[in-house]
Amino acid sequence: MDGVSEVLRWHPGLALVSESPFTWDGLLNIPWDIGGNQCTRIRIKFIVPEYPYLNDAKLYFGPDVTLLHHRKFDATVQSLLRSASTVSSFLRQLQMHACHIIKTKSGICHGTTAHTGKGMLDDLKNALNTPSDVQLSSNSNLDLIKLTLKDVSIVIRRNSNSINPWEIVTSYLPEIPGVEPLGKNVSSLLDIRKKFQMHVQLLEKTWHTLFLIDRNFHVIDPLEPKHHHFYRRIYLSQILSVLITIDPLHPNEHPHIKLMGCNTETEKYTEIISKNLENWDPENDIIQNLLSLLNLTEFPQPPIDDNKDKGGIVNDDECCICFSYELDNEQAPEKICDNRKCKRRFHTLCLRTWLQGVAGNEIVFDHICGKCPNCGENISCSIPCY
Amino acid sequence: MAAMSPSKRRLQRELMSLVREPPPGVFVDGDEVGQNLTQWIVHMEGAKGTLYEGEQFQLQFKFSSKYPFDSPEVTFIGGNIPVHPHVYSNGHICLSILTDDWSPALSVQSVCLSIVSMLSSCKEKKRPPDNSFYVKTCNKNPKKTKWSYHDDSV
Repeated sequence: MDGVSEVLRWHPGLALVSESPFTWDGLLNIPWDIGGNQCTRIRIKFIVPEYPYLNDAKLYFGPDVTLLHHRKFDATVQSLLRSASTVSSFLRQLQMHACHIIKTKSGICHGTTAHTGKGMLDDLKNALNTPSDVQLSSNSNLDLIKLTLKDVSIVIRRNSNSINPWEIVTSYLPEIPGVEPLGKNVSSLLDIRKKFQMHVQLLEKTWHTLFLIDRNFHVIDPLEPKHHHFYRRIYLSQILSVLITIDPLHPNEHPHIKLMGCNTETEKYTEIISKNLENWDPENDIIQNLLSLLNLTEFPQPPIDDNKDKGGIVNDDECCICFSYELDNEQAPEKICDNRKCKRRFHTLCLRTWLQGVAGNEIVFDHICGKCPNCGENISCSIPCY
Repeated sequence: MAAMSPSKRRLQRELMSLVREPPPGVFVDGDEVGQNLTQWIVHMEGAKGTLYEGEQFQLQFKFSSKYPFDSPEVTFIGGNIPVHPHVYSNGHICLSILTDDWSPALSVQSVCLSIVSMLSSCKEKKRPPDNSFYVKTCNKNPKKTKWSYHDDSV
């Protein structure tokens, strides 16, 4: 029997669609239990330019190859391709290998066989077919799914529980008091994605409020604020700081306030705060409210470390990029980073040259936006109109 | 004196500052570098109490005319290349601020400090896992390598 009819006999789902080069296209059966009752089919296209030899043969898979997704799958297929002598023997070995992977995978799913895998794929397909702002990504084994929205993300995993099939592996999303936790009562990926989006939207205002605080005040703690930090310890003087905790659902209401520092100061400020608290207006922004609450006219900053100033290569009034005060045609560095903790200076020309060289920086009308070379916060710079 | 380009001016300024107030464990020969501002040799000493205590290293900095908008090309040279998980035996260094995370606000001094701290936090002296393959196949210029920064802890 020649090779072509042998392939036809053992793989009736595959059709020889071309003879130059020899190309088979169709479905490959993968029987993965002993009786052959459980059978999966995957779409393949197999091109064998030097038929009957397998040199330079190429194998393509349809989308259902995700069923076989495995770290070493591609490498194994390549090595089978190199070692096989005929088309039909290669296809047989491919069948066996695919079958082995499916069996191992269903073994991982706590003996619930491929129902979990199938359910997972249906679930995933549904979610992918429904448009959403939430970004969906996965690891190479397709067992962990990451949902991302506005730089907040959670990682979830499918388990064998049919009522709550998704469990949370890692989450940078804080629990919100009084709101049902993410992992509860979700029957599909669609559900958990919707819920995740809802939680992020719920907290957006709160994060913005906290961002305003970070941007304006000198925050001592947390050093690197994360999404789950609802508190900020703000520097007031060398002997006093105030810890404020925001209610995530009511970010504009007055926060929980605790003064920290030496007694005379905390007593003094407790009095000030209790007097001013009635003036707190949820309609105003948090910065305005905090300033009037603490009787402040400006944002307290810690004294600049003298050593730092002397030891640095570049002085505070010099451009952070060219390290000098005067540039060829310009005078003093006039551009100052808006971040109060940074406040470094730049020549417009220096900053523009840098921002224009960074891939992905956006131009909005006559400004280019990017990150401050010193602190990494957003900064923008005018560009000349051509 | 003829007008210097902003790039040369900045290098001159950095050199002066580094000669006058070098960070601990770092030494630059001002006369040697003064000859050719675009290529520096920085001498570095393993910090006390670390795995590299007592060792001497040489770092070569090459600057293009676009410096500081373009990052410097930094490699270890000479007879003693530190044995470190992020340093290849040909002297190439896998450090994000040298490529992707470079910013013109950084300087020779801050790069030296980052390298000193990279060495100091090392817990086990060993070469990167892909050392022999990399050394055989890489470009002479480490900036041409597409690094993947997998580990920030060392």
